[in-house]
Amino acid sequence: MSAPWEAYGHDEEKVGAVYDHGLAKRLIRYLKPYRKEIFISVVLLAAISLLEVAGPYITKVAIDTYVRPLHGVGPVPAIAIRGLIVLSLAYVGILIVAFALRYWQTYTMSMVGQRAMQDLRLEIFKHVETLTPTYFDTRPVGRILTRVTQDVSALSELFAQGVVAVIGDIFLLAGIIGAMLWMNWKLALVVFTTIPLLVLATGIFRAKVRVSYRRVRTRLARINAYTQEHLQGMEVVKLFNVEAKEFRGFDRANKDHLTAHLQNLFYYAVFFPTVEFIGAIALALIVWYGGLGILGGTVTFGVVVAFLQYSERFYQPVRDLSEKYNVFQSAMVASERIFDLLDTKPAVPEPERPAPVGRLRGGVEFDRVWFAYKDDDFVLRDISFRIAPGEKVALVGATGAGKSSIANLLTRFYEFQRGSIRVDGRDIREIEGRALRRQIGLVLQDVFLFSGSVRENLRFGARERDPAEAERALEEIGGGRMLGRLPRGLEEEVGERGVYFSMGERQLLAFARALHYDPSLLILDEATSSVDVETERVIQSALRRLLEGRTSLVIAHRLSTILDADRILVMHKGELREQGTHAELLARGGIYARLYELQYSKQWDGAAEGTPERARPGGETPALDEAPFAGGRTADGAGEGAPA
Amino acid sequence: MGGVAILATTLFQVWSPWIVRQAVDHLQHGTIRATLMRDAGLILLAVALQGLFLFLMRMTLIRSSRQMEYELRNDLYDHMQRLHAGFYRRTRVGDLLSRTTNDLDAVRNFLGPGIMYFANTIVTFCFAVTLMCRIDVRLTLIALIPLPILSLTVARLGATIHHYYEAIQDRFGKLTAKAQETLAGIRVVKAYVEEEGEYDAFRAIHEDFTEQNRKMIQLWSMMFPLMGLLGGIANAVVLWIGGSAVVSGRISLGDLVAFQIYLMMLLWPMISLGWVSNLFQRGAAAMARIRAIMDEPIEEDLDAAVVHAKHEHARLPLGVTLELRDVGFKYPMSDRFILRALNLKVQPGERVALVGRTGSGKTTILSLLTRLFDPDEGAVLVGGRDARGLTRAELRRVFGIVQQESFLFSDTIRANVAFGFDDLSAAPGPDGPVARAGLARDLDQFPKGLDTIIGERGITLSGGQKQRVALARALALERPVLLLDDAFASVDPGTEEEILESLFEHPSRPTLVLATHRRSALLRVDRIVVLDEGRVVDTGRHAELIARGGLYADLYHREEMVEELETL
Repeated sequence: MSAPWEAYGHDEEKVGAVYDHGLAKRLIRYLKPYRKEIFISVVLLAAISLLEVAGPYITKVAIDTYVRPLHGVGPVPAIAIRGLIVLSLAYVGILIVAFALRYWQTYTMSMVGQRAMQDLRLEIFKHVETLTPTYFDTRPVGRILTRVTQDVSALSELFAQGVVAVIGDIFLLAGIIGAMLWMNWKLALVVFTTIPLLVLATGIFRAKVRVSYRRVRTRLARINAYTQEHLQGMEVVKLFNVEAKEFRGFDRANKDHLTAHLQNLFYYAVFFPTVEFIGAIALALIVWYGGLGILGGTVTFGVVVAFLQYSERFYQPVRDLSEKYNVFQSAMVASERIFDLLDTKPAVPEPERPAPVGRLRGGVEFDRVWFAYKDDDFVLRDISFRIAPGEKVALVGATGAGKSSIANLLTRFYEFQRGSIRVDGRDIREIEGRALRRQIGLVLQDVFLFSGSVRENLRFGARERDPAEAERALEEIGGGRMLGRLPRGLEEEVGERGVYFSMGERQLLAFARALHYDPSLLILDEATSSVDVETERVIQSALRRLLEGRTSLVIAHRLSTILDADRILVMHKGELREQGTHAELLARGGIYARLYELQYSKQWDGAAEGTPERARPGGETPALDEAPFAGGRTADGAGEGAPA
Repeated sequence: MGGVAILATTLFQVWSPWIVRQAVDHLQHGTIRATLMRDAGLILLAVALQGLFLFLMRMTLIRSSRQMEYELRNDLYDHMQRLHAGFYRRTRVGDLLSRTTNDLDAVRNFLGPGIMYFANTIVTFCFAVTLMCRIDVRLTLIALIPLPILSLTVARLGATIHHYYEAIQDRFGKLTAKAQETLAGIRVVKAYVEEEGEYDAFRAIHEDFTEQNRKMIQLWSMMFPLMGLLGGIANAVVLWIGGSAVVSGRISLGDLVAFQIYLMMLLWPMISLGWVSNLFQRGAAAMARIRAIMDEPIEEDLDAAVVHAKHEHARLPLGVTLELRDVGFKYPMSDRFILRALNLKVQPGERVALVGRTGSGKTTILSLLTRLFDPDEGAVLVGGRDARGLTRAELRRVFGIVQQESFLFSDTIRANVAFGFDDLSAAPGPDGPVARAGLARDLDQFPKGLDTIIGERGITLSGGQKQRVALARALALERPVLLLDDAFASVDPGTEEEILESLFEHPSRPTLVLATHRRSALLRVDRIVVLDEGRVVDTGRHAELIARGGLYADLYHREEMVEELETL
């Protein structure tokens, strides 16, 4: 879940243009499917404006027809009162219709906003899924998440309240202006002289508030960043005895924020009375000029009263219109970021005319492959090897030797720079990524299960297969006993990332998932997490079953796995340095022999369950603190269940 | 002050319709232009005065709420700084942050706008209703009927809407969690070609989210139209009954006009009353959550419970002995003892290396020395005195510390190096410590040298640079004891050699306690303490320990081999 402070990131300080034609055009596209609703909404708004205008007019009619002429002239109250009742009922009727239409309109447009938002969010989600891991390596998950969640939410207001609401406000204004002009154009024009004042005051206020509000936001962002940082680094603050100094720093940020708010407050405190006063000018003009009219017989009482009511309704749409500025502005910033993401292309190109792939046999060939994640910082140098179909190959080496990179290239997660990789003799660049991956089973060291039931997890990637086989896969792998212990069997929830299950159980589930997927080629990065002896035995036999009769490339950490392999490839500093069987390599006395020996010497960073000491950070020198094929230790920070 | 402003602003607010009433009545009885001018002028005056006090009202009430927010935020931060290190191990930073943001906001909204609108509503209501009654009591009573309904509806709708709002937040959380899961597991998703499956799952969750929104919108869309409806009905009723009263001569036309204005004037306060009741509920809930943190005991209070007789606050001597005597320790919320009956004594000026596997207790020993935690059994003695009898500030003045995971602040390198000085302007120049930490050469790489701002947590620095900035930060304080927890893990061997050289040869000769397994350090120290499972299993100089051939020899042999592999 995204942390609340993420909303206050640096992006927040970015201020976009109010209107960008290209962005607006792209945004409008998301409203196209809802043309019908939008049309209805606009018609409704027109009707609502008319009804809104009718209220004061009824008051005018009531006063001029029944109240004023009869008063003092002579008591025919029965007719007058009947007339008043009829008008009041008509008024109520209009109110009820207006209520219904307004409700209908608001509901329709809000739902259009919701739907458009959902469409956009689903599109982003789908697009992100096409991106390759390169994209995710260079960006924190939280940032991408913000695009999918909060940035889209920022657009909902635009979809629901943007253009259509502006049209509504304009309708209402036009209606009121029309009605006033129609009733008495001279009085109307006199009253309209206050409009420029209102527009001016609102304009100045908006400009001031926009600036001061931005200041408030950036200062709040600073407070939040400061708080977050200091909460995280609280131990350092304490150890260095600088609580007082750091409090002063916080107080400064807090005070700046207060100052910005007080400034903002001042603008509001001036603006509201100013608007009231402009309203009072209109009121005074109506009383004065309208009064003169009454005295001169050109204006009726009803008109004056109706004008009093109109002048009150006048201000809301004018204020709303200027409010829209902010809606547009924040929407532009958010949409720019969203479209930026949508325009990102996957880093690994797909072949234009992909070769059709049948069932592969699993032969792999690396031919002088060079690969760098960044620039020419090569992590794989001139790697060449072959794996025959059905062969079991173990990949051995220290951390940073390049083992995982080999797996990353085979699955087309990354594009390599030089050389070629062939599967069954076919260049993998000619095969569609998804078609290739359908044939490759990947089991990562950091077992990743998805929240949902055991069954759903087992069927992951192979939903077209008979669900009964998922259970069979789990049993074959030796998970029968585990399954028996689950109260709800295959329907048991695994929890987020599989937290309800132990490390060993998660590994078994990952093995069963891979078995059920039934790949031609299996790539397995063996987990290094420590498990008890019994679980270790179960996992080893599960692994044998999984590899049985299958071409496989195993990044091996367990001695048993290495001994089982047909051949061992030894990676060192990005190069393939040695290969052969265990006995051959040991006899050679090279890198493999040393790695092997390290396994049996006691380690500095040995197994430690639940150690509260923190993982070591990565560093300038590739730390060789990870046992090459230890049977029981936690990898530094990369172990299973380590939070991303 | 705020109260006076509210009274005055409302007083002038209700005055202007009264003038309108008079003006209309004047007109009815035939009037002269001068009276008309006067009435118009009076309206302007009334509203100008109203505006003045409205300005004052906001400037006092909202201002004071902002000031309260400021103070509350300061108090909260100050309190959090005083909380025990254990608190931070069991509390997520995200949760604390939402106290200082969302909850503080909710409290402020209640204190400021909440109280202001509430007071304003009451006063406006009293004034307007009094004047309306003066016009016509019966009419007033009838016209007021819809208003409480309005308040109740707003309160009721508001509560339901809040309920829906929480449901939406919950669904949004699920949506976010699903997106995050897919993003975090993107390799697995892609490897198993499950893009469509994940998309369908996300879509289903989003449909549910949209459905919750629809329910909310159903209600929300009603809110404002309903206000218009109820207010309008009150108006229609006034038109009917009031109009009839004018016809029958019970009230004047001016009365009717003023009455309608008053009715409109009441509409907003009645709406805001319903709204305020929701602000109050949310504010109270938020305040309770903030209280929960403010009620967490601070370190000093915890101490009071542990140590009865406090030592007098005498300054510690510079050359202090450090001692752990029969120490047993387990982390809060854990049953496993990290240290067991551990004894260790370090003399002033001595250089000691702590050696052992991960989890053997090296870091814990350093945490106990600096009183991030206190031992469960035995005692930590500093300068011969029980550390618990010293204030933490006093105790920590003895140490310069580099932690395993060096936390740097997003500030300039200069500020980070001078971090330990209370007054930055009084801090000595950073050149000495920067050079001793082997950072001088790196400075050329930075665009602004010492004044380069390093990103959040020092993200722009390499691992080794981070560790060296952290080292410079500790060295700058010139403390008698330096605690270095695996401080050179990411520093390349050549630079490490230089740093160690200057550390060991420095004339001030501070006591050094290093948790390390690097050969260069092990060969230099006066004594090596070998830890295993929270106990000291061996101690001595490098050569002695190697000769004995125990755990240390094994560990050292492995380290040698690792370094040798590096050269292959």
